[in-house]
Amino acid sequence: MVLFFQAVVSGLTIGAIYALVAVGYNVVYASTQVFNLAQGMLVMVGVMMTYEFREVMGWPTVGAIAGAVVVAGLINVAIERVCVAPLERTHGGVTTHLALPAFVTTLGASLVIVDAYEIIFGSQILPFHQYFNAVAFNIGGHKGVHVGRQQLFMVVAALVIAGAYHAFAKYTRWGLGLSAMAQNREGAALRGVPVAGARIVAFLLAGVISGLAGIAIAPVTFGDTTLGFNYALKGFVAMAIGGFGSTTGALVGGAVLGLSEAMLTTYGNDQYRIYASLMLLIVVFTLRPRGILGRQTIRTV
Amino acid sequence: MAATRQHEAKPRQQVIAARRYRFHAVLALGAAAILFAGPSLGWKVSTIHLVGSAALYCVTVIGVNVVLGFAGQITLGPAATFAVGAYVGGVLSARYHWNPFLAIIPAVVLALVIGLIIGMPALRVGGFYLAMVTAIAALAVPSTVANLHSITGGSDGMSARQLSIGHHIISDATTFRIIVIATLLSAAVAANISRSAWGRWFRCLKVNEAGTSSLGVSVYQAKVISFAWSAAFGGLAGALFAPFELSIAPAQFGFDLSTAFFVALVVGGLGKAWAPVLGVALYYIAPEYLLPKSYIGLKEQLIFACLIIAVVVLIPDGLSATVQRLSTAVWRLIRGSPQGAREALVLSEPSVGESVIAAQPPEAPPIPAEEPSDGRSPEGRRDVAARTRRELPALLARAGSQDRTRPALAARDVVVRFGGVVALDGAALEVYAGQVTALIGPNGSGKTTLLNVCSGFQTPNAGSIELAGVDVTRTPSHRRAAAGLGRTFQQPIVFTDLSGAENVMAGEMNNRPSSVAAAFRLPSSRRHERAAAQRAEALLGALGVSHLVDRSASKSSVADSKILDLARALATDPCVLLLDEPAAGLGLDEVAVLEALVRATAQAGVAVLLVEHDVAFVGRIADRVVALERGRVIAEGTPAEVRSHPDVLRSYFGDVDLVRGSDEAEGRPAVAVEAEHD
Repeated sequence: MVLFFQAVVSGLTIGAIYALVAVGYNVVYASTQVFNLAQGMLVMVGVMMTYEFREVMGWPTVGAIAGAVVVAGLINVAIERVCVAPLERTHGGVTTHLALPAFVTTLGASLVIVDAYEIIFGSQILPFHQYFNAVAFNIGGHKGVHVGRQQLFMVVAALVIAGAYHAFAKYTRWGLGLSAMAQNREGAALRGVPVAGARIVAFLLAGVISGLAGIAIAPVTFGDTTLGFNYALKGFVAMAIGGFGSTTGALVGGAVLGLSEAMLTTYGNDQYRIYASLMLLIVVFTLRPRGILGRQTIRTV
Repeated sequence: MAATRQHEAKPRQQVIAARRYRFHAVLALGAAAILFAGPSLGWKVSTIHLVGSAALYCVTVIGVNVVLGFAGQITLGPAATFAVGAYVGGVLSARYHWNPFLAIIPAVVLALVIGLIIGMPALRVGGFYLAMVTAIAALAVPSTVANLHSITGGSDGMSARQLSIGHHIISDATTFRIIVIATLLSAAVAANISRSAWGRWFRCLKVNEAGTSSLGVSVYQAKVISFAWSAAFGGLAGALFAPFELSIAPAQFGFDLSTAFFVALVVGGLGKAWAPVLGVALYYIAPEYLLPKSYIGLKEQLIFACLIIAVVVLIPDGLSATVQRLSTAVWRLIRGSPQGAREALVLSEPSVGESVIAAQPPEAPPIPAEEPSDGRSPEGRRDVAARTRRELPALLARAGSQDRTRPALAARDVVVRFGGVVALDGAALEVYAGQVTALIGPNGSGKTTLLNVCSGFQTPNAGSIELAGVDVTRTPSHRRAAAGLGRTFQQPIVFTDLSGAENVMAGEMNNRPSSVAAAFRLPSSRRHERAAAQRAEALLGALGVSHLVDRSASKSSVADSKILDLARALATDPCVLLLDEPAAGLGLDEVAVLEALVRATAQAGVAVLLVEHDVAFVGRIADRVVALERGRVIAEGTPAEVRSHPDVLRSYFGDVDLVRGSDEAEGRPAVAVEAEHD
């Protein structure tokens, strides 16, 4: 039973990070209808830059975190400028037509980031000092379920970031402007939403969120260039099974995916981890194509 | 179909298509012949291996081209089917002593089955879902292979057996030649699909899914078929890879192989016949000779990653289109036309899956002056109208034979709610064969929603839709289309990389061939092609736009695009035709041409229902008008009756009395409403 609950704890912590990547996808998708595949890479950027600033350059932790967040945000803005904005000119101004080319260019950007980082940092795993050292508490005595401060930190960070974004999107002018763009880009432009600027903001925001996810998880995963595609895919799975476009859906999806993976690896072996994603996607697409909390699309024409 | 059989000569479109096909076939055969001779010309073993595995990658990328290039479905999983093919073939021949040739069959079948199990649920959802599910599969397959190490040798890999017949082992050079032949055949199959009905439907899918189902093609089925072909190509390539490479390991089939296939196709040019060859040559062969040895690996990958962004941003139609443009320019230069050469070099309009109209503002210039179509002058217009009236009935067999006494299409008490908003609140209408019925109403009154309910893109909360007396409320849109419900869209669907005739041929649904028949050009597919081409030319002729037959649709004006769209809808041989704002974006002359065409369509027996804002146009064209307001029918009758109906006036102008009586004398619209923005 302890084994089971231990799996629940580790599943929820990893799921929290998947949820954050999913929120990052949502931020960009909601305002631009672009699926920015490089979102997962920014998790890796968060990890690697924190490593570089904190472990190599010896910055204080808070400074390293701030630096890594800035880098992740700026890289995502660069992606918007280089990979998405020019497409409007070459592929016509209609938002939905950007979807396919933008997917391809952001895949290209992902490969650029991975390759560049592998050239800079090499492909070995980079060790990372913990942010917290003591065990937070044990549920059920010494032999009970172990919950680390790091784990608590990950879950709380995810909830706070997701909640902050949700509040931003629902209750601030900027947030509402971004959602208006998703509904009707031309309409939003006519009502005074600065569409091009708003898209940069969306990418910046998404970059910051993914960067933070990377920072939160760095002491667990250590630095590794394979992190990027892993989180790109898992974040997508979390978003798809939770429901496209919903922050709650992202959290639920992340939790479901994290728990499934933890169960498979606890009771099977680590090689089975990937099947959790595959099975969940096949089951969810078959039973609820728009995700657990997803709404059906309204208009097709 | 009796009328079309009179044409004894081969349709022009088919002559041109055959000529184009032959040209590329000769090029491909030439390239294959050079490779075929390679081993005899003293190529090094390493060269043979490099080119041979590149050819197999090419086969896989040909598959990706079918699903992504033609049908626009993003897949990152070809490495997965490739790996399945390689391991099934390898394991069956090495561990279970199957003949390696025989093992190819189960390898392809299993790659297909596994591909479909993974792909089908995601294809239901569409969008990026397929991309991500296949990407995950591309990770899962190598890790499964590593897990099954008693059979597959785990992550250390296994050795496969060379191809053999009985005890005679086939040499490397011969295996290489077999691979060259397999590549050539795969390219031929893909080219056959591309020029067949399925190729056109795949392209339609890429541009507009709703439009595809309005032709009577199941979107889901078409997606699954395109995906199945790509899985089969991947399986075949893998099955030949094992006996050629002789040792296989999971690491060879990692995620980077999947992205490599993807990159190769995009850089080569989505949907272009030569894209797989150019892309793979650039990705696998060029670096060996062009890049310094220290660049192989990471730096090389970095260069390609930058290249993929650059290509999509700067030359969206990829390398093969660039090569094509260059060769056209050189050819024209040789023939002494520097002007033509310059024109050839100009980047054509966007080509990654959108209609031409999307890139142009609605008030884009009409048909260029040097190409007057015969409908411009009033006399010419009358001639065209007479011709249309004469020729159209023979081409619309189903419409001509339908019962004119009962409604061809009826909507009864339709209610549609979007959350709290009631878009349709008990709307009803009837459309009769041989008549034009117009649906008018202010913005947001539910016109387009009603059209969508009729054609099956929107499920009503209550009410029913009947097509020729049969309840079709629960029938999917493509079945309604097959039963005779055609439609056009506000934005006409135009395949910019096809000719006008080919655009129209996409609507031909009689005797549709299976995709296998199309891939191997079996007689059933050839018959369909010929009949479709004849009918498309006859239709374009009847509509007075014969000049569009062999012209690339990327060059057509807004008006021509609308007529092409109409022609394709007519090619489905509809009983009922729904037109969504047919006159929007057209100049006055062009509206007049369109008007004559729509009238003739109705006279041929089609029940026409159109949504339109231009009330003058409605007044001239409609037999009956139905006015909607807030989801309810507020008036119904002849155009004059509806126009003077107090509720209609109030709905357009509020409670103003001034308007009444000031209109009809001049034949100007009493009511003019600006175009909606959706």
